[in-house]
Amino acid sequence: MTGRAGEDRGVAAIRKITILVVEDETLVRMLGTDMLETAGFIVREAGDADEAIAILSAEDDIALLFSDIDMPGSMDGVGLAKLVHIRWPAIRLLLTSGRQSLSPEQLPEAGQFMRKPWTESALIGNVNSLLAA
Amino acid sequence: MSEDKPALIAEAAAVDYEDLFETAPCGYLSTDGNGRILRANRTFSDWTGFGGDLLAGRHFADLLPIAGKIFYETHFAPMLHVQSAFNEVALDIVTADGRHLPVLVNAAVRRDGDGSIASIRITLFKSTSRRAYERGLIAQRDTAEANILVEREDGELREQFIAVLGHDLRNPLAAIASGVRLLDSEVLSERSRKILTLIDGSVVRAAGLIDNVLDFARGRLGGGITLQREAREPLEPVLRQVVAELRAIAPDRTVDSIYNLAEPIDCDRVRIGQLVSNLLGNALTHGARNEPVRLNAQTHGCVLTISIANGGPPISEAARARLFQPFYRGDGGVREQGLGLGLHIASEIARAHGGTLEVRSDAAETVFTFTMTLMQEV
Amino acid sequence: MPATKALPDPIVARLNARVSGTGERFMLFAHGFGCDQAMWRYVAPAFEADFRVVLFDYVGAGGSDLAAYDPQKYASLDGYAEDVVELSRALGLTDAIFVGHSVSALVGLIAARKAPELFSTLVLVGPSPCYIDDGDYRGGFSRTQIDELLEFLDINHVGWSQAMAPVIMGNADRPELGEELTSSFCRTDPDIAKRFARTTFLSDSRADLVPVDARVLILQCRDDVIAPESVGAYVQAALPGSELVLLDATGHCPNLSAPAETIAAIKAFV
Repeated sequence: MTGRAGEDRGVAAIRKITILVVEDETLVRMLGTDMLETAGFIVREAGDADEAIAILSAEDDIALLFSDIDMPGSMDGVGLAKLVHIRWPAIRLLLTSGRQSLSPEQLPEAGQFMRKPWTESALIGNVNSLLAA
Repeated sequence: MSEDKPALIAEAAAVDYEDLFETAPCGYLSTDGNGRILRANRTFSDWTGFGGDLLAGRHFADLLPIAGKIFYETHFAPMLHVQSAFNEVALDIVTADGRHLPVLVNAAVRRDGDGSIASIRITLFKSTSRRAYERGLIAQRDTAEANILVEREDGELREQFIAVLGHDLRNPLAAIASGVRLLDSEVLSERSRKILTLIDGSVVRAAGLIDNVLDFARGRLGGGITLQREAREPLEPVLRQVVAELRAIAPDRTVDSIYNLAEPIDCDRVRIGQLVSNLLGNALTHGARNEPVRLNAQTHGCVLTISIANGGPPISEAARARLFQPFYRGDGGVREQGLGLGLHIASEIARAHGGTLEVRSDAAETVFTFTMTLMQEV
Repeated sequence: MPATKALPDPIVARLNARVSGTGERFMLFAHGFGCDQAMWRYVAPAFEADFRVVLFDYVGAGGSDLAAYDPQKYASLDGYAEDVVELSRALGLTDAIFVGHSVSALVGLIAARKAPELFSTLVLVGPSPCYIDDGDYRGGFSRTQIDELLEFLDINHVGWSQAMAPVIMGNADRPELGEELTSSFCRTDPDIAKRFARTTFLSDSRADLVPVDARVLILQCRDDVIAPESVGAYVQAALPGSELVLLDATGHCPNLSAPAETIAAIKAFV
């Protein structure tokens, strides 16, 4: 799915999909949230894996996890993605980091990795392709 | 010649073998098959302070310190039994006054008709300075080996430090960059927008500096520039982004860009972006301010060429030779900005891709050209 | 030495093991510190008519696989005993005779304890369970002297190196030995030799002198500075039922200096 964010907004608005953004650096999290909300998604925010798990346990309509990898707390993004995959297998997984890539063992099944810094189109594109699968 | 022969034989007969033996410049010993001394020459007696009568009947190993006794039993004697000779053995002889005399020993065996050892002939040479030299070599070797271990540990620590540093430096910068993008979509006064653009420019410069410094540090540790080749993502957007960033830093300058890229291109596009960023930055810093900087990126057959040109005075021949060395900051005169790493890193990136980075400079223009052969997918 | 058979088991190659002779029982000869299986060359052939004779090199010595040297494993005699057990099992030894020289004698005792079915007879030539004096126990050496030995080995290996090409030594005096002799005898990797020396001379194996089911023969020499008569007596006392024979030989290697006496003493026992 290509095109400007405005078109994507139209699609997402019908479906009202919720995405959980996990990132410890506040400004970076705000940017990600802003991009996704502009595209029409509902966004929940967490500053680390523990907050993310609390939110996932409380709410049941989160469709996609968008998480940084290097975070303080009990586990990093890779660990979080693995745990989410076990407990909530329906949730799509998109990991991001300043690192260049992930090894195959680190990337969860059917998950995606995106290198920072993101372009808006790359982020929305990845999210949509994961949701469509 | 044959007339001389009888004379030579006569001369030989006149040699005093007894004297030859006794006063030889080395020690001579002979022992029986069990190692008990039969005879010792005067030289040996003089060296050790033991008269011939004191030595006869004593076991050769008695003259050795404990370590030597063990060595005699476990190496020396067995070797003589099996091989009939044992050469270049370093031993210490314990002299009459209890000192250790370092010697180098050759030994050879005479056998009976039935093959058992009849006698053993031993020659000994003093080797005090040689032993000191060898000890010195061993000490040096041990020190060098210990140093290598320390260096390796230090190297690992430095690697970890670099990794953490990179991460810690980039995080707050990423936060600032995100903040800039967030503000960018707000309604801002003209002054605020200008400030935002300047902040963005600084972020770009800082990021470039961090990349270059960390790459350099890592490269110096022997790691070199490692690539993450990725043919699936296109290169052009990365180059466009780099150009956009540099235009943002230097809004009063003109950067022209032409792209003719047949994707996919198998390369590390982040690194190529870094290479272009360094070259563009260099062109903007050193090029004539009233002339455009021109980027031309194209693929031709299976060759990728990216060239960056700027106007201004040419780079001297001498400078061109040193351009890609680390820390080289130009011919002096004007206070140079930057660390002098940009071109060095760019050339390392070129090399890691199996390509080249060359410079051509005359009064009309200075052009840096990156050339790389593309892997053909069959 | 008669022709040897090539055997496929990896332990055989690792220890450069050779089997020769004929007989119902196996006889395994284990060399001591400082040399390799060649030190049995005057003794082992005498038994080939009656026994299947096995010769081998410990890892790190002679023609063994130096790459297999594991400093951790071979830091104690236990590691060497494991190899003896593994080799013996691979060759199918049961009710066999173990002949061990010097430190190998202790290796044999440890191996016999690990796998009692392997050996019914142990011949210990110049054994010593501990070389360093300890209180009332007289091993013969002080710790300082052993340290001197280790430093001494370093000095002597400065001249030798693995890079030296082996030289075929013709034996005009002993033509029956032919030209197979090379100067690789007693030549080993200097680092491994030093470690083996540490393991040998710093080990205290007195705890391994426990009674075994096997029959034990101790061969003792006179004037053996490495395994003096008092130590031989100590070993005999610790192994009830063992027999001690004082050989008419001096020094530490009667298998080389007095092979006839050694052969006779062993033959009388097995």
